Amino acid sequence: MAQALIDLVRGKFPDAVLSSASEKGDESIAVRREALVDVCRFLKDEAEMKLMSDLCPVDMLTFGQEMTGGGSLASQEATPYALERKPQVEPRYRLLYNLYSVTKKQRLRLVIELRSDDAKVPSVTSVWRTADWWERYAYDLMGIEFTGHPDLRRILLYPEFVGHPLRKDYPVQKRQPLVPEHDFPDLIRGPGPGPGGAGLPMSQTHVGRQNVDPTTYD
Amino acid sequence: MTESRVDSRQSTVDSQDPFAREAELPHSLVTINLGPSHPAMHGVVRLTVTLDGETIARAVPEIGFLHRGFEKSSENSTWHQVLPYTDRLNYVSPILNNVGYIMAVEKLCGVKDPPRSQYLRVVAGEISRICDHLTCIAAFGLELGAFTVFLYGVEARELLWDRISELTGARVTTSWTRIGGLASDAPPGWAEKVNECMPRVLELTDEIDALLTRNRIFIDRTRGIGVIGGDEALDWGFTGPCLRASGVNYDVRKAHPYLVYDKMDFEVPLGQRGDTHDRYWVRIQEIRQSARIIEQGLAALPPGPVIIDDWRYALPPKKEVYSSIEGVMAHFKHFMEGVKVPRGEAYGYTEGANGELGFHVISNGQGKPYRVHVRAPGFPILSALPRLIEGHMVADLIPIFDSINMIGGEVEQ
Amino acid sequence: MKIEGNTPESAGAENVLPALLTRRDQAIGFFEKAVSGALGWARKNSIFQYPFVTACCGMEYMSVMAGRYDLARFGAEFPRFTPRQADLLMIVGTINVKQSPVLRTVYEQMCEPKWVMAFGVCASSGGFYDNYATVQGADRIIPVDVYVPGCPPRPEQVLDGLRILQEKIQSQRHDASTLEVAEDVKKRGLFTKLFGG
Repeated sequence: MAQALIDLVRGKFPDAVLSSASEKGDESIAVRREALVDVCRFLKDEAEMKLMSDLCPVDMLTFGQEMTGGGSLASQEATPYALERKPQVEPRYRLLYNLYSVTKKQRLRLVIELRSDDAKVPSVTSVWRTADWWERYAYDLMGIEFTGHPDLRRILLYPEFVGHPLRKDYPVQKRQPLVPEHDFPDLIRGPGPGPGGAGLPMSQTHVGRQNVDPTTYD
Repeated sequence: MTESRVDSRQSTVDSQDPFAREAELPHSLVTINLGPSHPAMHGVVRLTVTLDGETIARAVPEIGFLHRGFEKSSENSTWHQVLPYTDRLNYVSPILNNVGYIMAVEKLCGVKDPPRSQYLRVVAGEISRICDHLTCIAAFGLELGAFTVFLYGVEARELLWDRISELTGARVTTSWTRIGGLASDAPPGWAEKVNECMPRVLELTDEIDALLTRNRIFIDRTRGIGVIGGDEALDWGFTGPCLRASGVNYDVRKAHPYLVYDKMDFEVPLGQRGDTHDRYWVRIQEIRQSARIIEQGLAALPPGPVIIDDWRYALPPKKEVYSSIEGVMAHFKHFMEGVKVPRGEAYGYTEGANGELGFHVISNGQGKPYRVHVRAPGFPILSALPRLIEGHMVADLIPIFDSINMIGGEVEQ
Repeated sequence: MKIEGNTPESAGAENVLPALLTRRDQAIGFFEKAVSGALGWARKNSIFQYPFVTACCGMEYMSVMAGRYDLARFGAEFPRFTPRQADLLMIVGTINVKQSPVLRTVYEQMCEPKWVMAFGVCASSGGFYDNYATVQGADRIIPVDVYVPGCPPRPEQVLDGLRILQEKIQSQRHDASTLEVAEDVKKRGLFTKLFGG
C-alpha cells in the first residue's frame, strides 16, 4: 500500500533513498542524512504526511551481542570490559521517524543511520512543529545533535547531568544526585564484592557532582 | 527576572479621557513560576509564565520531574517484566497501555490472540478509557471550583475500578495482558456485573453533563479559550480527543481497526471550534460511545481460551508444568530468560485515551527487549501548551491545561 | 503496642521510676502529660495535608479524598497547597533526582510541628525504578514518619497509615525542659517560677 509512496519518493529523490524495506506490516526507507529535510518537506506537501508521529533514536552498540558478554541472561548493556577491548559498532545510531497521513491513511518510516563520531542530523522543525520536542528528547537521552534546531537543550533530565543515559554504555543504575542523600545499608544487594552489593555505602556507588569523574565507571 | 519596559504609547493618548491616561502607566513584565508541585493533579510540570498584567505574554514549560527511566529499565527486564512499567505510563488508563505494548510485541512475534481475549481486551480497554475521561473531567471540575463534579466522577470511577479489580486483580496498575492473550479470564458473572454498573456510571456522567456543559460560568470560562485549528493541531502532533475537538477525524480504532473494533458499532464525536469546551465535550461523548462498545462486546463475548497454546510465547498451564518435562522447561525459560521474540522492529499503534499511543519495539532475538520507545500522545500536546495559552489571561491557564489531559507518567516516561 | 515518642531512648524512660521524686516534679510531669495529650489530640484530628502528588499514587489519593474512602472523617480533609500552612507532607508518587531539590525546599518551608508520610512504595524505597533517574526513597532526602507501601496502596491502607501517624502524633511528648523559650520571657520570671531553672 505504501509501496507506491516509496516509489514516488524514489522517483523524486533517486540518490537520497538508500534502501527500502517492508517487514511486519511496516514500510520504511533509509534516507541519506543530507536530503532529510527535502524528503520530509516533499512527504508533508505531496504525500500529505502532516503528522509526524514519533522520533525514535536507537543505539545499535549491543545489537549483535558481542559487547554484552553473550549468554541468555545477559543484559543489553555493554560491559566495561568489552568497551575497552572491542571496537565500536558502526553505524552506531539509527534515527527512526514515523510519519502518518490522516487523509490517505498511510504510514511511512524514515531511517537515518549515523556514525558515533558524527552524530549530527539536520533538524526538521521547519517542516513539523512537533519535531521540536522530539529532537530535544533524542538529544537529551541519546546525544544526537540536530543542526538548525531553535533551542536544543535537555528536556527530561537536568542541566547538571553528564552523559546520555539511553546509550548502551551508560550503566542503568548510575545516579547523579542533585541533593545530598543519606546512606542506607543495601538490604537488597547485600554486602560483599561482585556485581550486586559492593560492600560500599550506596552514596559511594553513586556519582556525585563533586567527586568522581562521571565518565569513568564504578 | 523581570523585564522593564517603558510604555511607548503615551504619545497617542487622548488627554481628555482620564481612564485612557491611567491605562498607559509604565509597567513591567512579571515572571511567575507554576512549580512542579502544584494542585492540578496531572503530573509535574513547571510552567514559567511571563505576565503582562493579567495576560500571559510568554510561557515556557519544563518537564522531566517524573522521568523514571522507562526505556532504560525496559532494556534491563524481560519482555513480560516491562508490562508493569507500561501500566505506570498513562496511569489513569493502564489497560490501554498494556494492550498497546503487547500488541506491538505480538506484531513482532507474528502471533494473534484468541477471539475471547480480543473481545475482553476491547471491553476492558474501553472501561479504562472511560476511567481516563472521567478522571480528566473530574479534575477539570475540581480545578474550576466544581467539587461536586469531582465527587461524582471519582464515584463513577470507583464503580468501574471494582470491575477492573475483579477482572485483573488490581484497581489501578493491572499488568493484565500477556503475549498471545491475557493473564486471567473474566470471573463468572463478571459480564452481568458490568452491565449492572454501567447504567449508574452513565447516570453519573449525565449528572456531570447537566452540571457543566450548559453552565453559564463553565461556558464563559471555556468557550473560545485555547483555540487551535485542525491543520495546526496536526502540525503540532496532536492526536486523540484534542485533535478531534479541532475537527480532524482521526481515530485509530476507525482508521486502522485492530482487535475487534471493526465489528463494533460506535461513532467518533468531533468538535467544531477546537477550544477548551470542545475538548471537554468530546470526552463526555466518548464516554457514551465507549459504553456502547462495552455493551456490544459483552453481548458478543465468545467462550474459549484467553491465551494461545504456543509455549514459545505463552506460559504453559500449571498442570503441564507440574507433570511434563517440556512444561517445566518452557516455564523455566519463560521466566529466567524471557520470551525470545524474533529479531526485527515494529511500531504498534493503538488508540489510547489521549490519542495515538505507539510503542516502537526493537528486538535482537533475546529475552529482553533491545529498545522499547513509547510514543506518548500527551508529549506533543504538551509541547503546544505555550501556543495555546499565550495571549490569554492567567485564569484561562488552568482550564486549558486541564483540557489537554497531560498525564505525567506517559509524557515523561 | 504503645508508640513512645520519637526516639528509641525515650521508650524506656516512662517505665523507670527515678530514685527521688518530689511533689513538684510529680505535678510538673502530670501537667506536661496533660498538655501533651491535649496538643496531640488537637493536632492529630486536624491535620492539614500537603499532597506532593507526582505519579500514579495520585489516583489512589483522589480515591482517598473522595466519597467512598473518605479522609475527611479523620479530620485530614483540607489539602493546603502551600507548605507554609500545612503540617503533613504526603509524598505521593515517585521522587526522581530532578524533583529532589523541589521536595527538599518544600519540606524546609513547612513550619514545625510537621510530619511526613511516604505514600506508595516509590516514595518509601524507590519502588521498582532502580535506575539513573529515581531517588531510592524519599527518606534519602527528608525524614519520613510513616511509610505506606503499595503500588499504589489501597485507600484502606492509606487510612491505616494515617491512623498509625495519628497514634504517633498523640504520643509525642512535650518536655518542658527542652522548651526553647525567648530570653525576654525568661527574664520576666514566670517561666522560671513554673518550671524551675
